[in-house]
Amino acid sequence: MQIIKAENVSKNYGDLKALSGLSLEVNEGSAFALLGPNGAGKTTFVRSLLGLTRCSGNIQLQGLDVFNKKARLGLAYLPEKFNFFSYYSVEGVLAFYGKMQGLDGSQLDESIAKALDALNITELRKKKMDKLSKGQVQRTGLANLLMGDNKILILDEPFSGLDPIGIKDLKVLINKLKAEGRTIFINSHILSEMEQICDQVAILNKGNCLVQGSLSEVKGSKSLEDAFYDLVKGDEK
Amino acid sequence: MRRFQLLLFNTIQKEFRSKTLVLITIITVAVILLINAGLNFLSKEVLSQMGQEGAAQGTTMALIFIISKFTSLLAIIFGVNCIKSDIETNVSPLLMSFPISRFEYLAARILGSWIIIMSYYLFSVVIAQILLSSSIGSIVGGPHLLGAMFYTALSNLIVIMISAFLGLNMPKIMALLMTSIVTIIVTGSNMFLKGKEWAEMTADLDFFPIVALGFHTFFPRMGIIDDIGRNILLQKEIDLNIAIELGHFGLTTALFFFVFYYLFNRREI
Repeated sequence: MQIIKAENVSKNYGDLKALSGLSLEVNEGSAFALLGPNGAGKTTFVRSLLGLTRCSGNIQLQGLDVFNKKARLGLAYLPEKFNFFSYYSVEGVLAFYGKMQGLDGSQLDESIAKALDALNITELRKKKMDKLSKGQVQRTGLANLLMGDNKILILDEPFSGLDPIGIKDLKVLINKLKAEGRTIFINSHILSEMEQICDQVAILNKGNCLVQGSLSEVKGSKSLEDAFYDLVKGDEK
Repeated sequence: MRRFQLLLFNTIQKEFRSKTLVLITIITVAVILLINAGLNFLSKEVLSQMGQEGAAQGTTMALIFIISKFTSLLAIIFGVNCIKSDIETNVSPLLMSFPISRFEYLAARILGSWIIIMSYYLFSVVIAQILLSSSIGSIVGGPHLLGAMFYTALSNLIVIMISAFLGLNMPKIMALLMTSIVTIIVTGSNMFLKGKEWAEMTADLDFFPIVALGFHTFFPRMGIIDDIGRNILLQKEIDLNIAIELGHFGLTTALFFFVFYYLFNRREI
């Protein structure tokens, strides 16, 4: 079943074509990587997917129009630069997310403890957001993804701001979430990491989808980096 | 509904920490204490002219007038910030990724700011009443104060909505200024056309009377609502049809909110 379906999506910012007739399909339970160079339209697509921006065409989440709030039930989103109200503690942020996802009481407490543990930030529990380092803030954002039984996780450049330990931890976490059957949609340009965690790939350039398919179909016998380079450079020519 | 409540509580938490709120509350309490001390000091002299209770009543009215003005100022500041700050800190995309509609988001932010503003107003009025009553030895004011507070609450709700709307469309300082200007224009138009029949309003229409008529007809009549509240406070007779005025206020406020929502819904977050 396709959990994300985009048909002929276009978006212009003045004369600039951010997305040009883009069509994508993401299967339930897959780890999908949306790849592309800077300015390819990746973030615009993620924003369209969340109903943050209007574009022509049709985008459906869980079979519903993205502007229908029910389409976002069981969805968790991590922006590139996670930020939340500075006066919230790490625990407070997780509690807010958990409650928004319908958790309460002991279920909420349990989820908070698990999420803190999974991201190795239990000792930061009571720390306020404005007292955290960049990496700790990003880990808190990642912990939010674990609050509630989210079916779709949308991650926008999740590796940015993480140190090598954080990157390794995140890869383990994503693989664990994938094994649990969750759909993971990642927007990134760090190809080496994507090759290790994703099973479906789409490559964008200048708002167009150059290729979409399983990782093995897209890269063939090459590395993902080489396949990406050849496709994007070929498109530029 | 649960998510709306969460967002409403989040708004109250956010605004409750405002330094402006703390500062204005401190100034208000200082003004109340100062006026109360002045009243105590002058009480013997004033007592001989207008009676101790009369002096206390007069002081209460003056204090509530001052508190109302501070409340309006807070309403403008909070209104401008309530949605704008989410956008500036880039928190809005996160909030919008939850299963809440933009309608709920907008309503929660406006209602939350309004609750905080009215809590400040209620707190200040109660403090003033307690201090003045203890100075005078008997309870000053009465149930009419509640009536006046109701109208102040209505008036501030629309001030918050206007400033939130303007705050989204212009820089903060400009939005603060523009809200004050719009408030003055609407209030002025209401006072200019207050109690006039339609035929009288539309006779000899020039540029300014047309503008005034436009605001008076299609905008919530803040000036009239404030005027009713003031008359209730001063226990004066009200020469307006309150039901019609409240009906007009309700209808135009709903209209303003839906226009605001329509534009906000089309906006990039």
